[in-house]
Amino acid sequence: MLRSRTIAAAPVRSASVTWQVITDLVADTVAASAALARSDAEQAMEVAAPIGRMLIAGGHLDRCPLTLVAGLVHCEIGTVSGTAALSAEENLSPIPGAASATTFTIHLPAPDPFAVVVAEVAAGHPRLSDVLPLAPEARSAAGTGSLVDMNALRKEVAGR
Amino acid sequence: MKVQECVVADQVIRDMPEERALWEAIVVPSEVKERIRNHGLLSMIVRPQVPFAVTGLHGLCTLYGPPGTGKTTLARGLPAELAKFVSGGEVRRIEINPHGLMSAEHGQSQQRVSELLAEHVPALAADGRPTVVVLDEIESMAVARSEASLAANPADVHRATDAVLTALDDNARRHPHLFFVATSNFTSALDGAFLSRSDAAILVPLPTREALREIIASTLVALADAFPGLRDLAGSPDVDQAADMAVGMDGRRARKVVFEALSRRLETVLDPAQLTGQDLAVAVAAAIEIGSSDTQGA
Repeated sequence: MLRSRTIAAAPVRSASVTWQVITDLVADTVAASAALARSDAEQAMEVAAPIGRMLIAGGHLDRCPLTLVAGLVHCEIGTVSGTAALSAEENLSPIPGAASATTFTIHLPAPDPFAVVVAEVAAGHPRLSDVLPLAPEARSAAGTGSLVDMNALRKEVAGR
Repeated sequence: MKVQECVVADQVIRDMPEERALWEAIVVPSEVKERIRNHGLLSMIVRPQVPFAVTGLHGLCTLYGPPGTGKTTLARGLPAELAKFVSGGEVRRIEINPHGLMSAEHGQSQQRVSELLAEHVPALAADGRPTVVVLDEIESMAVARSEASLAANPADVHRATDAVLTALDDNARRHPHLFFVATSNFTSALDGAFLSRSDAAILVPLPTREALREIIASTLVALADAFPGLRDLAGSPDVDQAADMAVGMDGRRARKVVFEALSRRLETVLDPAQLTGQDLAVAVAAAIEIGSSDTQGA
């Protein structure tokens, strides 16, 4: 299921503090899994911190959220800036659904003109990606390879 | 008009006779139908498993050709054709009316296109069921930016095309169960970047003489269920002659020729079984004349 969380950025928080809030949210969520280490998430977010702060400061994360994919978690985490940030309602508790996760990926948005930089940063840690994640329903289909009934297709081909 | 109202149909389709009839009613070379169906299947097999960065597949097929050749009907019939081969035997069909998207308000067209294609359509298909999205007369939505002058066209037109392209890119990466079928009578009016995103641009041509014969005969056979006397005419050489005369006519007009022939005499209105080969020939000649005057007028 697609979830979303919104974090208040400027003027409520600086870009650095906002990134730290997002880091804590990601790390807390990943830590729910016995198979994953909180420190792994923190390290990945640390690698992404320089570009993350730039994306927040430029308002890009307002429009293009990052996405955490971990087990049943598929959560877009974005920011809200300006006057809307003053009244933003935040939910900073861990995102439910990661308990059974055996792996996780933090998908960073790559808006222009940051695409190249984001790609370089993403290459710096195996838990980071600059590729948009598949939607949850599409991941499900990809996982089972079940969109097309291959047996029905084989029968059609054999019947020719 | 709300964005949601631009979705004129959202249905789950099974391989049922009434749905299959859409696909079968259109008489085109078999390879045209096979290409459309195969692109749909290939998209749904490959895209969920192989990243977009590798395939470059957008899950978009553009059908183009003269008016009346059955592009929209083929697009609408595709879900039933795919339903034979998908898990669960069901394919969702979403039909979009692009004309409702354009707004006179500044910036609204872009926003509405984006909302519809990037948010509303994926939300309708959020259950992950294979989905065919029919974008009829796409030229109204993906206007060729190279042809549209900023002086004559509002900036919104350009931005709406940008929004279509962005939404297609986003859907290509994130929603591999969506397969878009766009139709157009005017490929020259379509944006180059849109056409380059099409995994296939398939020409739906004017019917051949044999196809015209099949269209006229099948229309007569269908009517013969109600008016049995027409069955003889359907199998007669008169239909061959009418098909010979009709070469160059589109399929829609060819189908209507039968009704045009019936309408020419009150006797055949009263009893359609009295239709003759001569009636057909006169109606075809009249339709050809109208067609040629249309062409000259254009």
